Amino acid sequence: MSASSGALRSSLNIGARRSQRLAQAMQRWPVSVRVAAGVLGVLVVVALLANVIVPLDDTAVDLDRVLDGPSAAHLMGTDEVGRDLFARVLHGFRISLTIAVLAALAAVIVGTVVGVLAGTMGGKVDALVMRVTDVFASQNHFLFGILLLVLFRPALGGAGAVMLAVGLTHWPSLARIVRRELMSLRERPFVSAAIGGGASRWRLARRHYLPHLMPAVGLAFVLTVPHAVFHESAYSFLGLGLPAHEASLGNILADGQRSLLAGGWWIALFPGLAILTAAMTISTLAEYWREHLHPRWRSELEL
Amino acid sequence: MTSLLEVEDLSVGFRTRRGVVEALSHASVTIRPGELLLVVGESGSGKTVLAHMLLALLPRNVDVSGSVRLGGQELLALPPAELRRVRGRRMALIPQSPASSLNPVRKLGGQLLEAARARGLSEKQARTRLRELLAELGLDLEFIGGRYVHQLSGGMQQRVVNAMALVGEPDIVIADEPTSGLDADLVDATAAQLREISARGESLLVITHDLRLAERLAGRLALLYASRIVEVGPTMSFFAGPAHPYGRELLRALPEREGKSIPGLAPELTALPGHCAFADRCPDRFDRCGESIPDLYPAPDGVLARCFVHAER
Amino acid sequence: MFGVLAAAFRGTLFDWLVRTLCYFNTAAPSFWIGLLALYVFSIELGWLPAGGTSDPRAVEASGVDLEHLILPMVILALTQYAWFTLFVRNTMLEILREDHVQFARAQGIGELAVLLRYALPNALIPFVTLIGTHLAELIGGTILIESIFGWPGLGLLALDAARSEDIPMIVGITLCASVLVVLGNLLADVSYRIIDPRVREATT
Repeated sequence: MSASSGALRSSLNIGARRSQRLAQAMQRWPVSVRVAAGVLGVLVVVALLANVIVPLDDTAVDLDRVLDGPSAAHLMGTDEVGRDLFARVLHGFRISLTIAVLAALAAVIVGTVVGVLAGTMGGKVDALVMRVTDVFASQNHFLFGILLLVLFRPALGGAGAVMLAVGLTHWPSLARIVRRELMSLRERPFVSAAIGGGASRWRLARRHYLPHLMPAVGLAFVLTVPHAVFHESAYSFLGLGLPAHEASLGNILADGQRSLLAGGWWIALFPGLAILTAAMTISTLAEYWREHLHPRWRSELEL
Repeated sequence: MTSLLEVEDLSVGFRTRRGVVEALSHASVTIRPGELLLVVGESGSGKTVLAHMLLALLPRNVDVSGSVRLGGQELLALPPAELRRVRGRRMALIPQSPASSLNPVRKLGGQLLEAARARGLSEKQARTRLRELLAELGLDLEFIGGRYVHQLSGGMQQRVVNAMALVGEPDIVIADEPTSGLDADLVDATAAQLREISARGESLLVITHDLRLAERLAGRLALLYASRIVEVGPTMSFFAGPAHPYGRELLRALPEREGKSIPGLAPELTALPGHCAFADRCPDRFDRCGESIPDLYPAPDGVLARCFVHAER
Repeated sequence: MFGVLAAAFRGTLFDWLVRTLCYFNTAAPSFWIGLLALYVFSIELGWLPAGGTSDPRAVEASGVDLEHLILPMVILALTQYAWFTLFVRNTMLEILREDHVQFARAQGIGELAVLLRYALPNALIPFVTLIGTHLAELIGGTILIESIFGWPGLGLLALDAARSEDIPMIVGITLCASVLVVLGNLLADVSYRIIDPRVREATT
């Protein structure tokens, strides 16, 4: 077992060599990609350390400075209750990003499983699965998501429902990609060789298909995260996602909408800026990755 | 005989992220009216770049130096738009792959007319000329005009493209890889077609890597290797016995001769050596070959060869 | 249109500007832009009304409630537009590299003509089909925009239904949306057939 997995590992350059290759590749990145990576890196680190940097305390109200613009004391100003916006946005960023990543992960997992199912089984199973996929794929992401939220929020809570909504709306394209890849992989000689060697379907799937699918799946995952961020904040903005007291970026934006008339533009500006930055940096990196992938995958990954 | 097209010391380099790619170095060649010139070389030798250079099809990231004179007029001094017009009227291209060279979503009639109008013909003149030309080639204008590219056979597509090239009565016709994608048994037919075109009086420049095609055509031959012209002379002399070692090895590599391939690889165009580019693979190499770049020296039978072997004379 | 221009002037400042603006627009949440626009144009500058619609009788008289329509419409169009522009640009770039474009240039045909008659028609084919399939996405966008601008449309209806957990209503609207998706796809397929002569052959 270890001998053959060792051979597989070295043939795919996994392990120690991957970091070397990454370092080499990074040197070739154009300026825009480096900037994006840098900004994203900083943001992620800051978000992860949010609790350390600025602990979120709902009771930390500065009643002298209710609805105050950006100032030295409060970098992004305060909201209508006097809470520091910077802290809220920081935590909101963490929360929103976490949910988005998990939601994208859910979509990817469901999509991959379905895709593998359809791709390896073939025949009637394939046909049935693809029709189901079509039904899901033909839904407007948003409306269907709202339906799911309304149905499942009582049971799963805000965060869970959002993850479900995003997951169930975004998996079809992934399933199709996986299935297509599998169908072409099945024709390849190394698969016939493996089957000749007596490999079972399950073994085939695990040891041979998965490594080849990883890059495409990984890329699809990264491409889905910005969508997930958008959806999560949109749902929360509409009051259908995370409960209002939790500092999700969407919720803060909703507060922003309310305080616009009172002139509190900063409450609307900063959370949106955070969403924008997250989406742009991730997209830039993902697009660069896509351009350098095998050309065949490019057209299929037009999410 | 006065020459029609004079290329002198032409160098074309592409600016890329990896550095400057010297696609063509100090190439000098002349084409006389009505002459057939074969430009032969492997892929990457610079022959396609030469053709594109003449047709103003090069991308924007190029450095060009040297001189290209068409009928006395210096082309490189013209602004790009003017250049393209001049070349469009006096030079015509028969592209490599007729099927993909025609606009798939437009009817052919419109494309043919536009080609003719671009060469300065009026609407009426264009129609008459096209009808005549297509008839000569065995096609009917009305039939072709209403159809799309994919509705024609390969042979018909080739003839449409030929017509588009000849309609403006160009001074020079450039045929780019006429045998690419064709089966070997069609080489004779293609050679015959090219000879017919040449017989009409225009100069013909044939770009190819296919030695079998070259063998069947008369005129002169220029051999390119690693961005330089290494041999120029009558085609017959070349096939009887090339003056340059590369030419010799190339012929030996043909299956119908010895089938012995040349060891090694051509040098990278981003890092051309300061000596004879073929030296590393040359069986006749001696000391001087590794020291400097040879000029084109006269060799027997009216041939010029870029090899120190002939410098001794 | 901007996509075509950006492809034609690839690598220039204009191209970079167009691309950056488009990336910006596709990454930025539409409702955020909507809010900011609302703030700037309505609240600060007072040029346009902040939302809702005017007197229904007046609307019926003129037919179009322009004042209230402008801002939501523009914002809604903006995000879609950015995506389309990028797509057109990329498609054009690919087509400009193709043989038939090169050949047309080699004949001496002017660059503008090449762009308009050779490159663009080929680029429009995938574009038109894209529009068809994206038709349904618009509905999702309207929910957000309508909630910001208080425009009483299908979107707000869906939102209210969601907030009051009126499931049958939501299901109904969702079904309508899926019908639109299917219609949009159908439209795309049909138009593809009309526009691309190669496809016409294959299906007859």
